[in-house]
Amino acid sequence: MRAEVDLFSGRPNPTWNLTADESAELVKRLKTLPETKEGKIRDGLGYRGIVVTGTADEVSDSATAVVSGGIVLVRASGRGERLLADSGRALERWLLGTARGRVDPEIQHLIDQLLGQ
Amino acid sequence: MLQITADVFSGRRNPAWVITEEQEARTTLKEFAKERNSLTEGTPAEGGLGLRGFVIDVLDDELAQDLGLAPSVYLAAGAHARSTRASELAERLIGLISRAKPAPTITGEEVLPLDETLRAFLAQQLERVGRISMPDVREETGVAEKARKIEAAAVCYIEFAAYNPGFWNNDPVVRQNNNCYNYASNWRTNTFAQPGRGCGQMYTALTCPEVTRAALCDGMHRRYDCFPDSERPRYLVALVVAPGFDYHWYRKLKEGFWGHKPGSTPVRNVDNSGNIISDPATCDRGPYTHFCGYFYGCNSQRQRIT
Repeated sequence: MRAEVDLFSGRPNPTWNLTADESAELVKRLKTLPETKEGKIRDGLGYRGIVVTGTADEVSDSATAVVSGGIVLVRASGRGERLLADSGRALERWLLGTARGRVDPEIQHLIDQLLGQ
Repeated sequence: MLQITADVFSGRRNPAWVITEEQEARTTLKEFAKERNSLTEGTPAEGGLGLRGFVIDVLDDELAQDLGLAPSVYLAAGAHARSTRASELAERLIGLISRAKPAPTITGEEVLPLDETLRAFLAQQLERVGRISMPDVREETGVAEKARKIEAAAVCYIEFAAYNPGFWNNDPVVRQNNNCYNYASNWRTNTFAQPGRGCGQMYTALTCPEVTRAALCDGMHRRYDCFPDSERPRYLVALVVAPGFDYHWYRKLKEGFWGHKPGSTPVRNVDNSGNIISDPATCDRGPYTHFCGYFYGCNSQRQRIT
């Protein structure tokens, strides 16, 4: 799976690959999150969230998960969209933590600032 | 006597001309009196940039009474025309420029001369095309501008496209692979284009001077450094920077507002506060706190970006 911090407008966003263990952990965490009808993904200029592609959903469809400010939007092919609640932004913080050592120091500094928010 | 005013500009005085020869005025008004359903008594609420119509002021009560017209009527034209006959009437009004006198103005007020350039400009505005061309007029000349080596013109002609977010948003491949620079240039490369990469000298720092240098290298001009008509379309764009972080671009549209595309996210015309963008210099730009300036893109510039 690939993680992308959706941060920039002009520059390409920083991306990194999750390890097999991290991918499995992500799927496990997603399954524990309750569905919600409230909340929306951040948009506009500045940090918007993390986009994970290639998530293996329960039926191993290719999917996208957008993790943003307490909400996770999961889009799985053939299954539409679901909104999940990411209480305390725990999944978001964990995902940002997986960037360590895999992105440029300048990007890591930005991510550290996001984690500090 | 008849005064005709072209309702075309938003920031400067509209051009106006007076028909003083009574027979000419009477003949013109007779045509209008036959097409009352093309006329309104006030300026319509819908606006947008470009030619919206003509105000026809009848200057003597005798003429107005004879033809049963109000002292002032409005003929919507161009994209707002109420009938095909309205376009013919508008052409007639434009044709009268060659036989008219300038309308009275406040002394010292700058007005466009009643010449072939004005006539051709208004005639072009009548064409029902999605894009419009307008003069971009420099309102003030500060000391700093006078000192610049490149002599900035007072008027440059530029183009405004219609707001078309679907083109950028509906196809996930297009949305994902085109960024703010693609959108401002109105050129889909699917490469997430970067300023300066096309000319071989991509930006090396995220500062206003450096991203500006890279965009100028690609072929943009600073505002009021005009492009010729051969470089149509010439879009008005704006650059902002979050220093050390990123850059962002906006493009002005025909509807009067500005559009932008934050990275891979959809094109929108609102700022970070959800407000329609009337000026990128003053809208909510989130972390993009440095306003670098306005520029013109052009046809050869947009084909260079990559």
